[in-house]
Amino acid sequence: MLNFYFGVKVHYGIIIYLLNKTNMKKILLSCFMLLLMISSIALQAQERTISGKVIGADDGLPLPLVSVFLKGTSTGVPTDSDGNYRLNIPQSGGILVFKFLSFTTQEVAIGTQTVINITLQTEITALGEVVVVGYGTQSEKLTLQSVSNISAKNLNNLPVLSAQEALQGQAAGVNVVTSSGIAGASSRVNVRGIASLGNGATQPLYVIDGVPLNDVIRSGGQGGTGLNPIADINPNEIESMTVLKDASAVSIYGSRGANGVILITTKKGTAGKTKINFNYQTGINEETYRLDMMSGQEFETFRNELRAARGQSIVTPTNQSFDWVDAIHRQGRSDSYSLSARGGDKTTSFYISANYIDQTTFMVGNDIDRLNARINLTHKISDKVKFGTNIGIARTINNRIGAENSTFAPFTGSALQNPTVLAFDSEGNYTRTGFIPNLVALEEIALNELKTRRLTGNIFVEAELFSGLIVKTDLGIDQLQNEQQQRFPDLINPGGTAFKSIAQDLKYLTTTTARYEKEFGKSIISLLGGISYEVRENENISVAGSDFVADALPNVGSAATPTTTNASGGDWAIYSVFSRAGYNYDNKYLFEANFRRDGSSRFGSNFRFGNFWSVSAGWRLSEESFIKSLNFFDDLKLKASYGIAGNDQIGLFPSIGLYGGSDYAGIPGIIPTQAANPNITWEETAQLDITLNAAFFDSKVNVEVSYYDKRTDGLLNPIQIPWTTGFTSFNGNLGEVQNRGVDLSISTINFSSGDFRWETTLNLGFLENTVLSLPEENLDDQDRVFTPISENQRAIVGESINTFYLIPYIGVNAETGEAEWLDIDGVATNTPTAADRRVVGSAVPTLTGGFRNSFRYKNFDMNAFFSFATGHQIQYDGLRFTENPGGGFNKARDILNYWRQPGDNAALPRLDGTTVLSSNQRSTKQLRDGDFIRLRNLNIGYTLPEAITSQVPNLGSVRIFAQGQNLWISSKAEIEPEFGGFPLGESFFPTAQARTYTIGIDINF
Amino acid sequence: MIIKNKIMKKYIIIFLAVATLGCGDKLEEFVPQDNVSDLIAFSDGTTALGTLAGVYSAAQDGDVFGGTMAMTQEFMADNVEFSGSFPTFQEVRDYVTISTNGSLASIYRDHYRLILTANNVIAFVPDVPDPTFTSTLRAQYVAEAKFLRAITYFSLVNLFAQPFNVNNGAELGVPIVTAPFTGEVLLSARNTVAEVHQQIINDLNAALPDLPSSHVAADGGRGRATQGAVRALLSRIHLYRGEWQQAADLAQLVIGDTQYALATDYSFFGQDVPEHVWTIKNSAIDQGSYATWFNGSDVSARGDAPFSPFLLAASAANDRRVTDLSRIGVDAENRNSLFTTKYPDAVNNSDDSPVIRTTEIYLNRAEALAELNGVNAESLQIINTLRTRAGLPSFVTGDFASSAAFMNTILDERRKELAFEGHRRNDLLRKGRNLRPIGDTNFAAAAFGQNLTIFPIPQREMDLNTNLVQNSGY
Repeated sequence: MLNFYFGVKVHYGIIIYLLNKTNMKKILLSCFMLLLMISSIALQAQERTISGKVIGADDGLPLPLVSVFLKGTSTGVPTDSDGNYRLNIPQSGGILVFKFLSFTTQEVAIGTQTVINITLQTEITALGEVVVVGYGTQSEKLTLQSVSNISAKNLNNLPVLSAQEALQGQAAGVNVVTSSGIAGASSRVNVRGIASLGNGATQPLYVIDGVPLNDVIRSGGQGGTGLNPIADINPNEIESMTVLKDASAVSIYGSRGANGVILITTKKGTAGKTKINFNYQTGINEETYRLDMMSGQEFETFRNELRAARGQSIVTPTNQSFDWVDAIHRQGRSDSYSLSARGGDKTTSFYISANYIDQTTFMVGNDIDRLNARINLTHKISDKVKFGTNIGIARTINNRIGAENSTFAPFTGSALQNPTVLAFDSEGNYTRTGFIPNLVALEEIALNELKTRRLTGNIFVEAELFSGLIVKTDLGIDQLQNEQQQRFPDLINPGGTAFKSIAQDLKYLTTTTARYEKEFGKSIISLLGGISYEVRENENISVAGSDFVADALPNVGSAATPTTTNASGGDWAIYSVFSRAGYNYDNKYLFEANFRRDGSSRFGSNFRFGNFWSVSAGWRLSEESFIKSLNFFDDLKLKASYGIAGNDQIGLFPSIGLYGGSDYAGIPGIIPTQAANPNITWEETAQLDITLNAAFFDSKVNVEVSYYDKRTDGLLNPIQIPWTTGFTSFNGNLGEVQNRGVDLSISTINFSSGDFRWETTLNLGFLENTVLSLPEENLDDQDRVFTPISENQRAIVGESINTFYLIPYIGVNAETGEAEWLDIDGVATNTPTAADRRVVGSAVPTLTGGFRNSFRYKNFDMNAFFSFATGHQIQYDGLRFTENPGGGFNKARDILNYWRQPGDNAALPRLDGTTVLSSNQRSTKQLRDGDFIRLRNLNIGYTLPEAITSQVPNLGSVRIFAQGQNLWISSKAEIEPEFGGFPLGESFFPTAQARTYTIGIDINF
Repeated sequence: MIIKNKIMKKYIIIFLAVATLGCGDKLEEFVPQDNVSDLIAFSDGTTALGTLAGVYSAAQDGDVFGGTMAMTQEFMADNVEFSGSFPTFQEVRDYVTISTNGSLASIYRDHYRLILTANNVIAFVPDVPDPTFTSTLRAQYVAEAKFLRAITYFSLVNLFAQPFNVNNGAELGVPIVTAPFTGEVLLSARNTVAEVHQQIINDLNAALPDLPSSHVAADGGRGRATQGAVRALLSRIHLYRGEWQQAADLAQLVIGDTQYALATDYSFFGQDVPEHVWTIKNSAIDQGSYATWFNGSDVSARGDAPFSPFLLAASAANDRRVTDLSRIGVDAENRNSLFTTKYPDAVNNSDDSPVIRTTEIYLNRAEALAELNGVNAESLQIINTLRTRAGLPSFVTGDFASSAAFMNTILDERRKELAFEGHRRNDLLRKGRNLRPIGDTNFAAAAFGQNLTIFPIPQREMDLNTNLVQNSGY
């Protein structure tokens, strides 16, 4: 539905863009005059009239301003606001051409027809589109910046809660991983590799309509389930998402640009008849995988077999069994309603929308309920001055569940809970189950709720002070309030416990920019200058208490023992000046430079200010006669850029030695929390980018290929030091990391004729991640410089930043029945030590991407989208628990296949042997290849024929659709390969992703 | 009018631009709200007390004296049954521990965190620029920090090195670090056990004269270091070193101190009473972790460490140390097991963590005298006093066929008195005994002097510090 708006917007964008150039204005005027003259000539030879209506294929809405002309002549008219045209043509007819920006041009032989109605298809890649860049927009044909643009078409109507999920596989070089199927879970986004060891320090900057969003990670004690920074934005409100990738694109965001920047532009109003859109979707969801755990009987039998083999007494079986894994799963349900209106006149335009989503997931106790609304307004006082506002508000209520390594996490807890523990007693009451709480009761009667209230918006005024100079001032705000409440009843925690926290993040900023553009002959100069000041204020209040009279009292105030009273806060500010200068000669030779100077309160006075810059150049070969003469390329552009951006994600006061509160026996106390490092300075990412854009076969094939080499020096990271210093680490500039690779994006129209059309898009991101330097003190056994990341991973010079460093596990020797590992000399051993660890893989995928096929036949459309990643490994730490033969936790059914006799190909060593109890130790036994390809989305739609819809007054197009998410996967790991968390590539057990089945309807009025 | 509006707008825009320009200076105004810089930490007497409280707070940590450390080593010995879930603790129980064991690494880390925090107090408090901060008080704070540093080094060396009686202290101990961290990363090598012991004894001797004999309740009561606590710890370390006379004499000094007395029953846990020489003070808002580990899952604990069958077999059915101090609870494997009630509050973990009790001092003296004099009246009287408190019949001299039999009885009483307080493993090792009884699966691995009766130096430390040498067997 909304592609139409996009088309119009882009078209207007181009017109405004052109009109801003005074010479262009003259050219247009002359063209128009010429057109009039030619028309009048044609008028003299008039024979007959042809008329009709042009509509967009995606939404069936009329398309205004489509140019309709007779092929080989200058005879033509634009369609009116209702998409109607009327044109005088010679009696002999001819071929009528329908041409519109970002739509595929259509030619129709007129013959004897007098009425020709046309449905225009959206073009896959419209090179003439305007792309959003930092502090402005540029023509996609002329831009020197490497960006990936995801349009509304591929964002809207997906059954996803947040827009990052829609990014998955759609932008080459952008690796997006959805944490899990848990409602509200965050996604991890890595733009062109990973250049930090820190948690959260690898994530891009999100900017909505010019407002950089709060980027705090709030895990809130839920087993590391981070919250999504853009969870409060309805993807249907988004006009486009642009991922800024190369230095020429990100350097204007200075100290925050190194991890890429994601610019989100919401839909704006358009002049013309008000369009109303209503969209409803409903669906069910289920988990993509479950762990296969022992039943109570299997558990008790196995335990006694082990005890007998180890000479221990037999435990009398209870013969009880409860399937905890099954008990915490259910069928999820979701309903989503969107209503929007878009319209305006010459002076005022508006877009308003409201959206409500009510989603329960496949995990008992997990649901989300989000209501959000948006109003975007623009008003022109005159041709020179306009002002406007974009405001999004949202309220989200999320019933949370834990994840990963937490006994309160249903996925983990249900797998590990002893299966002889019952959820209900003989009278059907919930039981108290101890350390792993009664998860069924927990989700039923405990409260674990997060309420988020958010207002993100800006107001702006823009004025053309004199010809070519436009000044804009923008005041932005992002106010986020997270209110979290937990209440565990007596059954879970005797006496009951309660927790409440309120976290407020208020970010406000002012940005003033001036831009100037001037044409001299064949040269166009464009200049941008700006200043901005941004402050974030953060406050947290949390209280907790225990011991309640009754479970019916939800609030901490009713607790007899207040256990936590905490109030904390932290503010920071960034002050910046920035500029951009562009030079365009004859739309053929293009140059651009960017500069930004940031001052940040995060750094000590010595290093408070940092400079970031980029230069770029491009050559539009397709404008050269020798290329034109080939008559092959419709567009061909070669561009290169180099520059520096930064990363400031290392806490608010990284340079100061700090003492934090730590009381004792009622005496207020302080304890060292951070070691001083006054020499800490900015991290710099220098990036070289060379990109080739080509379009050929009548623009049916579009290719973009980029090579990049990104070197991050002075890595801002905690530097690991021996504990005998009293600290685990201190903040410093750790070393240098290189990310280099190739981003390849190919889109093709494979077939387009009559009623049938088939389009394909392939995005590939090849990545090589290498550590170039680290502090020289730490040498491993092979004298390589390294720094530890986790118990499984190291960053090693010459290897990837997330290198798995583990003891290789061979398996259970079929003859001896003992587990074997590989020692450092390559010999099998039963007693491996830390000296046997070696490089066994990397958590960084070497290739990620997506593959989309779209089909349309008459009123049917179908869209299949695959995403994939390869070349990386995953360590599932939870396997050390489920494959642990001892202990009270439940065990994987696999280990029932223990070694019994020579020749057995067993999963577990002989129970009376020397290795059975150490077989689950940390090694490659828990390591899996991470490769996967997944059918992310399959979408089938049917647009009602106009013959039906036209009978209802005011009804535009109606489309009904069905879609499935995560329907199919091929993966080497038997466990979910996509998850969030930290560090990269390590999970306890990832909570399953959601497999969803959705049906919906989209109606336009 | 329209023109005026336009001009106004230009002015507004220019004004906003200029207003933004002035913001650069404001960056200086942003300072931490919830932390103070290390300069402020040692700026006056009040902040200096705060840094000392910080050292105590580090001792409160589960990995130090808060319960986790105590339990972890209990899994090597014979008083508790491992019923847990954590592979790291299970490794310890099964004698298959590896050097990457994360739980043991945390223990090592948090001990050094305390030591370096104490080093700061010892180094910086004398120079605090506050004329009202008296030299007596400065000396006391330094002495308290030295006591805490000493007991923490003692704990470290007991966990990560062979006991003194292996090779007479010549075995590798732990790195001694006595200076604050300056930013220069020192790759400290391991000192010998004897050197670490000497460091501990030096700290304690230096601390003794500057400490008070007691603290009022408002200042932390028995949760703070005193002369009695120093002497009690000296008594313990001499006992561990087989220096019986010093152990006996120092024990006698504590016994003679009016601050301390044996309790008449077992209700003293968590109370500020003369039974305690030094205890970690916890509360619902400032918690320990003993109950989490040592209590049952039915009361919200983990149920990891119930009574072992060995301890129950060694105890008389009517022993009050079992009947008064236990309850049936649910263990981590969903079985009914017997748990200690020394730490009842698993919801808030407010129970104090016992570290040095008068009972231990009496037992130190009884043992040291028995080592010196064989079967003797004073030792027997101490044992009988404790047995009477436990509701058990007294012994007479004739009950013991030999000095060895008498020693076994003393150690047996010590085992039952101090069970679940983190003493058992050290007491067995320093006496050269096996950590497990005959018939246990791991009897051989648990023998005195065996490699896996001590913890590995954490692999992370080995990786980051090439001057470290790993314990044998890891």
